[in-house]
Amino acid sequence: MVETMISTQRERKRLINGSAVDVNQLMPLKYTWAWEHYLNGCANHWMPNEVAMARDIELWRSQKLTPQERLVIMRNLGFFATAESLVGNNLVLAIFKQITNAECRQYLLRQAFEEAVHTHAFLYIVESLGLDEQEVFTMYHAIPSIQRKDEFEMKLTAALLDPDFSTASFKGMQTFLKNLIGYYVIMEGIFFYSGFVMMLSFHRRNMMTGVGEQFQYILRDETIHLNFGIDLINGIKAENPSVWTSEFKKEMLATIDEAVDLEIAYAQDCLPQGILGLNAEAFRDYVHHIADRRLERIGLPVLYHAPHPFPWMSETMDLSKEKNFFETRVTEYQAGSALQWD
Amino acid sequence: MVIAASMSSMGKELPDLSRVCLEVCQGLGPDVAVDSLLTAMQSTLYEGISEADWWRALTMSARTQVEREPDFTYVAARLLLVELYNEVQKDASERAYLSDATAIYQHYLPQYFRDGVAAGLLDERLLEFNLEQLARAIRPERDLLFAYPGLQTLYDRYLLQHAGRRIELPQMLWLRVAMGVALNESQREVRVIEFYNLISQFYFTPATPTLFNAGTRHPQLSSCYLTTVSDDLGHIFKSIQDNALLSKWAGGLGNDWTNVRALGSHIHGTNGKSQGIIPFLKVVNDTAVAVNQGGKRKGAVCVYLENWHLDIEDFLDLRRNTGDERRRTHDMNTACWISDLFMQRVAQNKDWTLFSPDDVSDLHDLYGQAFALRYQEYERQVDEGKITLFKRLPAVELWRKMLTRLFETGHPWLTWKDPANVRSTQDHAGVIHSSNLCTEILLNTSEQETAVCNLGSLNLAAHITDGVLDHAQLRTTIATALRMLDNVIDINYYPTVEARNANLRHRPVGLGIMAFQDALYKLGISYASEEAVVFADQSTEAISYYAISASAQLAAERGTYESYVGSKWERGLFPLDTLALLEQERGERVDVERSTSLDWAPVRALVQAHGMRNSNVMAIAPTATISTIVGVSQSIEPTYKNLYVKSNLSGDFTTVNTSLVRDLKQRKLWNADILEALKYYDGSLRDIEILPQDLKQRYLTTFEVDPHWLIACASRRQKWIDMGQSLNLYLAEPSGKKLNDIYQFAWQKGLKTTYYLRTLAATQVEKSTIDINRYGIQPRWMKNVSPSSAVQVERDPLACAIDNPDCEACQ
Repeated sequence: MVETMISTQRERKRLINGSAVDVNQLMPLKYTWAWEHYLNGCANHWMPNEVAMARDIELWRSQKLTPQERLVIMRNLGFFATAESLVGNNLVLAIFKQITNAECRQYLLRQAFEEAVHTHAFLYIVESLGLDEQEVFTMYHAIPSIQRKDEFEMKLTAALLDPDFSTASFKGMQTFLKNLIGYYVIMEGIFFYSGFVMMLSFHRRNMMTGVGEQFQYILRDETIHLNFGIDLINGIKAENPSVWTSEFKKEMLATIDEAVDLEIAYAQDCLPQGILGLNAEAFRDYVHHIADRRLERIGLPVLYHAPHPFPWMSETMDLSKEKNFFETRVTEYQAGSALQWD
Repeated sequence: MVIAASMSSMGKELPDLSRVCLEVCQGLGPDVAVDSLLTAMQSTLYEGISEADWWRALTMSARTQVEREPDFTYVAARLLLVELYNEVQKDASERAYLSDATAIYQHYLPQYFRDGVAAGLLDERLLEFNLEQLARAIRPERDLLFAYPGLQTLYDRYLLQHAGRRIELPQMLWLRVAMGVALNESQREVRVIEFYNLISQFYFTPATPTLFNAGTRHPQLSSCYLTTVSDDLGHIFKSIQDNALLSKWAGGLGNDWTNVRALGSHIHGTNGKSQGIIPFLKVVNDTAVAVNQGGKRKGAVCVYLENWHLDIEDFLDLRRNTGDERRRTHDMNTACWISDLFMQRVAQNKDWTLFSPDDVSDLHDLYGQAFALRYQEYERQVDEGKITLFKRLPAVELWRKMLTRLFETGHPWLTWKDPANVRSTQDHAGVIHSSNLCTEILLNTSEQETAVCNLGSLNLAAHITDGVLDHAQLRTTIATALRMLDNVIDINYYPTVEARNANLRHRPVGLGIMAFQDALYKLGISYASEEAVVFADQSTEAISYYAISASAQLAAERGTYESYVGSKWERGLFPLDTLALLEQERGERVDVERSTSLDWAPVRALVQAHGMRNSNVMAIAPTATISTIVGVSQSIEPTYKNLYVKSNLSGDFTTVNTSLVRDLKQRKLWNADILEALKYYDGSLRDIEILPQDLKQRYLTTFEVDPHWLIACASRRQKWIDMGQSLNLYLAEPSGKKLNDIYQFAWQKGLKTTYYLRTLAATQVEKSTIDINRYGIQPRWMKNVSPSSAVQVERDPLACAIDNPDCEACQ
């Protein structure tokens, strides 16, 4: 009897538009994948001040970086410094309210905290290197290619902040999905990734390694954000198959294509002349390659068929790292709250 | 074409590119082709590239191909060599090529010594050697032995520089080191050539400080210093200053803080209360950061505390990433010094009492039964109300907290004071209060003596010939190696008088090993096997046999060390004999098999006749950097992953298991698909279906070898070693139960110390260069199925033409 009730309650949970089960009711779990993402996020906990910045400071103050290299670093810090808070705002102000499931909300809260940690990381970098805070944190006004990316995203947030907005309608559900795709697939899945490449290209050359290490922590978090986002999008599609019309798919493809162009323009802005290991031409391939990967993951056809132009990312991102314990920090340890003793 | 355009944009007289490329690829087989080198370079070039960057781009191109074809590591190394040859002879009118090596060495060697001395870098006594004779002994072709990570590491930090330019070539470094440790030899040139041949062929490698500093004006050649801090404000800050001085010249530090009173204890002078050790440790941490080993390595220190110290719980939290930053030490290592009594209380589920050392001032100097009796006496004093500052808690609660912190932060390392002291060769001359930075050195310390250890490691794989351990080569290598290590003691620059005193009195040296895993590959043995355990036992026995013999021979030539009389050596107690003593003190079985494979009577007779030159001869260090330099597996570590990135201060280096690739090529199984699968599965073979079982078993990675095997091997090594070993442990899916089980097991097996515990992160970064969608939309670590698993990835689809309303792809 009790078991039937529990299983019915589990059955009646919904990602959006769920009214049969109280949104505060975590148990019984239905979306175990969301809970698993939450636990993984917790196990990965880190703080920016754990990373030593002494070598970066030394390099930044030396004459060893070219003006082009400094430009790449500054533009990326400028982009990320605001992008992380845009993502955070969209999560708590726009997405959170619409999600009617406690385990997904639990993850959203974890993610929102991680966005705060990332913003903290950029401030920590800015302060460590002694950069002009004003310049970095207002770059989204000053640099048009950044501004255009941010405006693209803010429009999506604004649509959900309309007091009349609701996911109850067919149109509303589509608008909500578009927001999710705009933030999880485009912002965190495409916009972030070219920045990551640019910053990791320094790491590859053993430069700005403290910044590189912060980015590796961030990337680890972002990988979960992205996977959660894709699971959420695919989950909403599965629960509401009617919204995934061919017109809507076309609209999403066009949206992603538009974002890809914004990203390529941004890369050109960051790399007017290229730096060692990166040129803007190869970047076009990269953005296309990543976009195709994202499209496939939400069940859309690929658009570009571009090859991966940076085989060196295998070394900086794909392979497990064995660190020399004396020389670099080991980043793999987990939080220990979950240890079982019996 | 891009390459031609970028070259012409450099606008300089250009080297003959095809000659360079042919030379660096020569003799490396058909899989190392010039074409692929140039193709991979193109995405890296940009307009207006500088000449220096252009060369870097070529090297970077070679590096990206290492994962596909491991021999590209030699291409990258040779490109770097060419760069280096051109750097040392900057004023030459013509560009140097790889094939000019011999001419460059012959021409440049005398100038190197002259300039090096003139610049105040080299010891002027080097000019007194017969340099012509030495020049003839140099073998430039040994430059080609280096793989890329090794050479890049030498290039970045080991080769001598002057005014921002390298003035030393690899064979000159080996020669400088050989000369630097032969300064006091009577047949100097003969010894230099003997030393040079040993180290330049990678049979044996001195530790990093020796490579950095031998033959220079500041010959601080020792790796490790161990100090103990007294319960006195003056001595606390003297110890911190000593740390700075010792660290400046590349020594690693172990500090024992157990004697310093705990939080809440009374201070007579001011009638106030002490804040305990934590605020001081913050200063130790910050001092290590400030003094970064002359800019070559990060300053490194490990602080030891006995786990009856009342501040132990705060000590365990030092490395956490939450909490009050004033009480955190992110750049410092921590270790617990644990008694057998504590381990027994845990096993019996009894209570444990924490004290402030000023109430129990003799406890830290006691071990074995004497410690247990005294500790119980102090517990009675607590019961009687005579000691009021204490804390009592279930032993298992503290034990679990230690293990939890170890899991979360990699600290504290767990080390055991009783096996360390009971089996100490120098138990007549003091007490071992801690281990060192890497948990392999175990030497006495006091306010008057700072323990010092000079280290070097032999390359075990180089001593496997025709499928067996080559005893003749081992004997030769060790005799020369021990001589070099012993020489260091007299030549060494000692930053403090306490270090000098201790080292000249006891003359300990630490001969270690590296390439244990590579030796197993050569023998075709899996690390997770009884054969590996037996090999660990017998190879260490042989090394110990020859090392003790060599030290006794040196004693015959040079006399015994000063404090020899009364030592275990003099009492006829060899490492193997002391296991029984440990069993007696512990009052329970020490689970170590005691067989021998060699006849030890001649060695015992030799020691009886001549004594020992060195109080200690063996310690197995981590060899993190020197194993990279000579391109072998680290210390006694299993292969981390079959494909992974080794990362150090010189950057990231793709590392492929060359033995594996050779085996796969032989079976026609090495191809792009296997490489991609190897990346996807993080360098493990287990889940790649197509691969045969025998290879999977032979090429297990660190997290796949059950830690019990690593401990079993270590236990058998510890039979023969008079100090300890840096033993890392790996746990893929940790639980408290497993942690408890393996550390209890390590203690029962008689280990003296353990080092890092490595665990895996909960999740990873999304892989970039492989087609991950092909393996499924959900990442590999997810245990729960999500709606994404239903998404179909169809390959060979139609590309979508967005502007075509009839496009089929979206229908």
